[in-house]
Amino acid sequence: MLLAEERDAVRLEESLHSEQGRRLRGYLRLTCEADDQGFTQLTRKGFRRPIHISKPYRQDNGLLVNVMSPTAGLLAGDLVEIEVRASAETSLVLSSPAALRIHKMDSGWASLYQRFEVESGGFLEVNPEWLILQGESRFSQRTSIEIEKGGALLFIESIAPGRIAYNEVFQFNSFQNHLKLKWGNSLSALERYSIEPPKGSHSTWQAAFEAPFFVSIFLVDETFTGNSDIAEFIYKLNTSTLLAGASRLAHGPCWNAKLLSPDPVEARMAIDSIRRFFYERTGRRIASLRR
Amino acid sequence: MVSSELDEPYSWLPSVLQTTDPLFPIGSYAHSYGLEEMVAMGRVSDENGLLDFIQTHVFENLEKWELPYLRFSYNAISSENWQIVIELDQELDASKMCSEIRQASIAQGRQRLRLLRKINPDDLLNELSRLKREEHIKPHHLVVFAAEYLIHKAPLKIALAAWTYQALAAPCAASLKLMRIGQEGAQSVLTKALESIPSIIEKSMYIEREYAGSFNPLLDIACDRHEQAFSRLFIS
Repeated sequence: MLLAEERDAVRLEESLHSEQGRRLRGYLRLTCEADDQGFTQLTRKGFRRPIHISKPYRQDNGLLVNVMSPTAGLLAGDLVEIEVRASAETSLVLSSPAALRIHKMDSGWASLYQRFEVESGGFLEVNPEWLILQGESRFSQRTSIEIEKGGALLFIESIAPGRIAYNEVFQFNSFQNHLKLKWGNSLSALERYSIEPPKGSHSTWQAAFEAPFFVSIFLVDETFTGNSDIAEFIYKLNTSTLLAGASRLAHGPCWNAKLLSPDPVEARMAIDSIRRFFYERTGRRIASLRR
Repeated sequence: MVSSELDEPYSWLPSVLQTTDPLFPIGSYAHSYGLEEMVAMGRVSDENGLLDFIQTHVFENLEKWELPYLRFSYNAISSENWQIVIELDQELDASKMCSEIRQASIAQGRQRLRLLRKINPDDLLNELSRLKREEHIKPHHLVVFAAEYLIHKAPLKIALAAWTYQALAAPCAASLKLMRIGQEGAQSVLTKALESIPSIIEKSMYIEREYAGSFNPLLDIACDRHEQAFSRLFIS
């Protein structure tokens, strides 16, 4: 049986389709709260294609939600909005089993707007598969993250500059990325950039390797105050084919790590190491992603 | 006073020369802004490498991030819109995601503000000082720099050119201690880099606040790694 919100979504989708042809206006809206026994449960769940979610998996007191896209990516004119809130004393892992592909488009943009909120005592992990910027695509992504003091976050963004296996590297037309992270109402991180390979503005991305995969990870937890060993741990991940660094952000126990590697397997292994480090240091049992 | 002997349009020149001179003690000589680690990583090792570093990484930051924010700050201080100044300073703080680089900017901003208030007291500087005292701003170097050029009555593009010069000269100065390049080599690189000042400034003028920011992952990683480096000549 569909929730009222889902029924509304289906109606809205039908009306939009009739008006705008192929363009999709999808969304995912999730709120999780702790029940009387302390188990995390979804108290709000709404989605509309191209977004689909699996039945959540319970892991200890928390939940794993796998987000899927039946269209295997976004096309011109597609817009997806994601709103996720982890309330106090909840634990939510948001993952995706497949890469998000931004497909070739003759005109227009695909857009993703994301808003994540974590209340004090809550924990949210956002860990999607690769974002692949395919040839002749244009993609705009805006991410807003708000964490109350006492909230925890592991946010992973991994980006491929094209379909490397097909020798398609930096063939996309444009990628705009905006990210704001607030901790306790203070702006702790701000990323805004626009990359247009046809204009050569990808040169800083390509400075280390011809076809580099890029990963940015935000780690937030009260245990990461003072002289945390995060930076030292990540420094030791460096090899000749993996460049890594981390630093503390402007406010709160918030850190950002960055990775560059021409090898997606090595990059994935580094992500897994950082993820294990995060869970160990914060005293949480590592969640299975069931990918 | 020298200023009074100059034509009115250039009355700002002596002050600008004074504060862009390495003699002006804000501590910039102690920073390499990521170059030291780029050298340690083997990414920059000679004259050509230094020029490539500047043209790739420093130009990107100037054109898309620093010069637009200097312009926003200049305009906000000019209209005494202190709320915008506070927001810009906070955005600079959050967008400098490497702690060493952020602290370098704050340290130089505070030192420049302190010095300017001593040698050239002005209401704009007093207002920035009040905002700092009340913890609304850090202030970042760029914000104080903007106020300084308004006090000198220097046009916006002069402020942009002076900032660009300092940003290009700093790695050239640092390179002397980091690689076998020599004074002539460093000056040769700086000369080539300076040729691009007009085009960098021109391109930066089109960047709106909503889109101001750069993507510089290799330099960011180098700056992060520098914090962990076993031995260092520079603070950043």
